[in-house]
Amino acid sequence: MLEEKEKRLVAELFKNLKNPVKLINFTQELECQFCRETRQLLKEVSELSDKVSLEVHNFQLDKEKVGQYGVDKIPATVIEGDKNHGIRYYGVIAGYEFATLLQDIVDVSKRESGLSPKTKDQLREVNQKIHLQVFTTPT
Amino acid sequence: MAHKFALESEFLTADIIEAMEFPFLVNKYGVFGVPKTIINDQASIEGSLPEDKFLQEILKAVQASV
Repeated sequence: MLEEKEKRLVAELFKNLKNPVKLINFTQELECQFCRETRQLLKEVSELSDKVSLEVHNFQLDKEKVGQYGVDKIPATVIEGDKNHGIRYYGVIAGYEFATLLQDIVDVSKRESGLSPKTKDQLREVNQKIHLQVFTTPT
Repeated sequence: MAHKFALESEFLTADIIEAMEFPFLVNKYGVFGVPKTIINDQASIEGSLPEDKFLQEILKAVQASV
C-alpha cells in the first residue's frame, strides 16, 4: 500500500514516538476489499516503529473485543495508548485521513493532543457521554 | 480534531467514518457533504470549524439535549 518514500517519511516521523501505541483492527475471515486494504495499511504502518503494534480481531467471532471497543461495523480501527481513548476509524484510512492517522499515533504516543489549554480545560469538565461521528471521503 | 478531543476527554468517543463505505449511515444522517459531524445521534455540524468553535457547537448540542 505504501511506497518506499512514504515509508521512509513515516519512519522518520515515528522516531518522535514516546510511549507504545496499539492499532486494533476489526475485520472478518472473508475480507471485503476495504477490510483487506485497511488491515494491510495498518500492518505496513505498524512495521515502521517498534513502538507501534497491530492487533487484528475477527468481527464475527471475537465478541468480547467487539463489545469492549464498542465496534458495530467493519473495517474498524481503534488507536489505543495505555487505555482506550475512544479514537476509532470506520472504513479505509486513505487520502487526508492517512495524515490524521499518523497524527493520532503521534498524539496518543505522546499523550498530548496539542489542543489549546482553554479547549483542554473545557473538555476535562465534560461529565456526560459524547459520541461524535465525523463523515469524510478519501480525497 | 475530533480524535484530539477524544484523547483529552474520557467521556468523548470520536469515530471518523468513510462515507462511501457506509451508505446506510449517510442516508440515516442525511450526509450530503463532508465533513459532517453527528453529535450523540441528534445534532450535526456541517463543514470544518476552528478548534474553539467546533467545541462550542458540540457542547451547545449536548447541553440542549439534557
